[in-house]
Amino acid sequence: MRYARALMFASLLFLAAVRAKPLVPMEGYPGEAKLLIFQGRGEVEVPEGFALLLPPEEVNGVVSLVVQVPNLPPGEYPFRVGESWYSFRILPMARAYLAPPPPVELGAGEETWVEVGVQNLGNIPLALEAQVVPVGVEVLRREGTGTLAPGARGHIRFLLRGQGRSGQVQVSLAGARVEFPVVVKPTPPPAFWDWARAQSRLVWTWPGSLYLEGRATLPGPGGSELGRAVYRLSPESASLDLTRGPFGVGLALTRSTASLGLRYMPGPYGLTFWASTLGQVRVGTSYAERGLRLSVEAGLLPSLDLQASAGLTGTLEGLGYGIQASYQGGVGRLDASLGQGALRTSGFWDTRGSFGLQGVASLGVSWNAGLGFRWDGETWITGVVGIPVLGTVEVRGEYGLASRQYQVSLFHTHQTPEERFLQQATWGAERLTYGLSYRIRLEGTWLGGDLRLVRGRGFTGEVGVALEAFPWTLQARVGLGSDLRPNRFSTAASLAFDLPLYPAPWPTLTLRLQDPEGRPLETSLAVGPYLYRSGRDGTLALRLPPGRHVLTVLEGLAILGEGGLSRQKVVEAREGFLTLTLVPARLFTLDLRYCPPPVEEPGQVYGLPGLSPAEALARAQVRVQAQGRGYLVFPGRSTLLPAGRLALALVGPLAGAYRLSEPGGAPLAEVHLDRDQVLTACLTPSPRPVEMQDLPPVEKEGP
Amino acid sequence: MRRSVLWLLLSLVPALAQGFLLESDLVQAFELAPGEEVRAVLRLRNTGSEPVAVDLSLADYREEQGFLPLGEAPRSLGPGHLTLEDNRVVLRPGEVQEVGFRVRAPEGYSGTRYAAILLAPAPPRGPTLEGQGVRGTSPQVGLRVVQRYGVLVLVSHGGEPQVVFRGARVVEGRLVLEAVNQGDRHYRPQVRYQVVGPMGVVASGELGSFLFLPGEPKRVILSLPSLAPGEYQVVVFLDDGIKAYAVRTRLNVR
Repeated sequence: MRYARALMFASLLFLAAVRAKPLVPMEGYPGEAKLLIFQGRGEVEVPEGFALLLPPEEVNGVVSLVVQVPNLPPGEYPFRVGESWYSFRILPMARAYLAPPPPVELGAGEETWVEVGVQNLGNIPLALEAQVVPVGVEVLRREGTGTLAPGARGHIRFLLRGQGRSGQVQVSLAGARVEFPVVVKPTPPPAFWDWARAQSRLVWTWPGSLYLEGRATLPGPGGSELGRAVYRLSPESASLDLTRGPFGVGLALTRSTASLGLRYMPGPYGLTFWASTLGQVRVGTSYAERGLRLSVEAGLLPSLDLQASAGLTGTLEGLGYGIQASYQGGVGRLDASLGQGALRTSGFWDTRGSFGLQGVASLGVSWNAGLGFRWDGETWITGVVGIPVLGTVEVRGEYGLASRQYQVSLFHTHQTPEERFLQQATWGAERLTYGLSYRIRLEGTWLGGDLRLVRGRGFTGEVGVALEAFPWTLQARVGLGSDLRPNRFSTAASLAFDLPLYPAPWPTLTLRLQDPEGRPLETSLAVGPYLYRSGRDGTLALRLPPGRHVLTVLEGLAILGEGGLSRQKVVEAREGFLTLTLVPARLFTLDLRYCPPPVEEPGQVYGLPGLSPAEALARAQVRVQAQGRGYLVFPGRSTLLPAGRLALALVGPLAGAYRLSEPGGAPLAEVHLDRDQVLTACLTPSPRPVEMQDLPPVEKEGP
Repeated sequence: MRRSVLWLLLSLVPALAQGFLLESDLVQAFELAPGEEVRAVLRLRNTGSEPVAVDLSLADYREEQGFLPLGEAPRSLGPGHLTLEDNRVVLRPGEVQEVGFRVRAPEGYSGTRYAAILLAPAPPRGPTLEGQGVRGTSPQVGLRVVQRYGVLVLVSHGGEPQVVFRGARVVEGRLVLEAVNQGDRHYRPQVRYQVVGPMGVVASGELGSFLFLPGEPKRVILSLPSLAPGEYQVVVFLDDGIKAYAVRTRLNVR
């Protein structure tokens, strides 16, 4: 039919047949509008499938026409102009359409399959090799491979596992991209969640003891911080350290002694005092500002001793410097360093007469090399090399010029989110020490082992295994005596938990949930990751930590507000009442596709000028009228709408020039929404007559 | 000396410039049933470094006569149908303000009625060149950059545009197409053109959006490229998404 129409149209230009030749490249991608220009005259015959957008026109021996390249397999398609045939080449085009799945709700550790619809919009087979980028969620498996024929539909499936936080998955394939959110499935709040809690762990070692330790940030009224606490309890001892603002106090009790520590750290100054029942007293002071650090601590009882340190770091005209002086145990030590760009030098001197100097050059990312010397009665040459091989490898060596002794140490580490590897070796003075630690993460659990070997006069060492499955950690170790015979055994286990301390002093916000007629609603509601249910009277009391919180309504409801419908509302934690009006609502997604008119009449213009099908789809806006209110819907975006009857109308720049229809061609004006729904619809350009006006010729002087 | 005076004048320009920017569309079109009323706003921004007062007033507009007193144009919206909420607004430097206006469609009308809102900076106060300022002070000398805006407010209900092209002529290398909208409704199409010569299309492009007021003439001006002598066909295509026109003329370049 289209072929016949094209011929009929072209026959208007039937003139004396002379040779014609094309003046523009005869090739294009499916969907493109191509202007074809031929020099010469003749009847134009368009191959079947090509839509004639503008009919052939002859001006001064040049024939021009505009066709739309059809979505046909790549290859040569013949045009006839007069007596000549010319091949138009349809170029291969890989293009996909990805249909987003509805939003996914996942609890921590929960798994679910998600399906993304794929349609091949190109003219060559489409390989289902999608690129998947998950954020905040784990993709365990993927199904759906092979290829899709042009025009065919298929799907890709993903097995997702929730990680207890919101995220999204981005899928890309052949120029198409789709994102879908993954939200945390709310669960009832755990016990004591609204109490002040100390992050604690109970540790049991054998042979050894049992102890409990932890730390807490203590909430106060109005969101302020009362202070911080650190504690440790065991059958033999107990300690507690409290910090509030610049003040701190620490108490420690054992079976034989008790001690008290006091701190005052207003900054930049600080003062410390510590005393025990054994008659020990220590005092200290410190000063820290920018690159300067000073500290002095003195033991007053039972005997006088002094520890002091001073440090200064900074940069002077691009030259970084650092000086550190310390005095402890009757020995003074001075360290200094200078560095600029990739070069860094450091040196030390102490009151025992030792000194040394070392230079290190950074040769690139993780490439380091250094050389230096040290004197402590004899001269030692030192060297260090760092290389980024299989992670990071660092080798250090020392050689005594007089004693001719050497010591070499190797440190190798490699870490990924799924693996941790560390090995360390030291060799020197007829002693070799080797240590290895390896951890691997399997299904959220870390498994690993440790090995430590020492070769001196014989072999000794230690072997251990470890398992970390939150909140548990388990370790077992076997000590190896001479000739590697097991001679001791030890185990350790720990359990992490939150220790409730006292109910947090948070405000109570009372919600009243009602329908549009004001009747109370008994329904579920999520606040952050937690699920609540209102009572029969529609009320719900929430004790929330100070700050803003997101309320999410569930069970096919939405909050009716001035701005329309919303599943979420941000509230400030405060003492008071809040009334929410809820209405039944569902997510509506318009999967709008461009459908050209089945027949294009001559003398008519279709759609808006200069607007490609992709641009038309991008600009399409649909107004939905539901229950007396209007909502704007954009194709491809999920919109929350009242459940029930929806009236659809195309609005915005496309109104009047395009129309909405069902894929079968029937006009689309009404939909019944009773569940979350993706509606496939067509955007079809409407015909409009073009009024032609001819003006008399005009003349212009040449350039 | 002359150069010094020039630099002095140029340096005074930014200091005395009263800059305000209209961030709203210069054409405010409304579809209103007879008697229906709507409120809309214009958004103004002070882009200068000094406070600026902007005076607002109403006027009629005709294509070949410019701005006229309200009520004198044949399709005037008329007094009482377009009202300003403020006649003057003062903008601090960098401030953005919205100025409200109300439009009430006339009873029993059809097609398009329109009027204009004029915005201009208020005249400055203080000493002038004529020495009318405070005794003993020198008059202030400088350049004053004055920005004025005319915002056309169109109210439509039914009606139909009917654009008729009356002729074409070449003026200073540009092709001028003379048209008139003989309908009773405004027409605001996107305009494209194409110049086809012996070797195919020699020029094409977008001319942007044009407003054809009902009963008023309009010129569509097309800057022609440098053309070799010969015969060309110029096609101008107008389309507002509802109504489309194609105008064709032959152009002989000698």
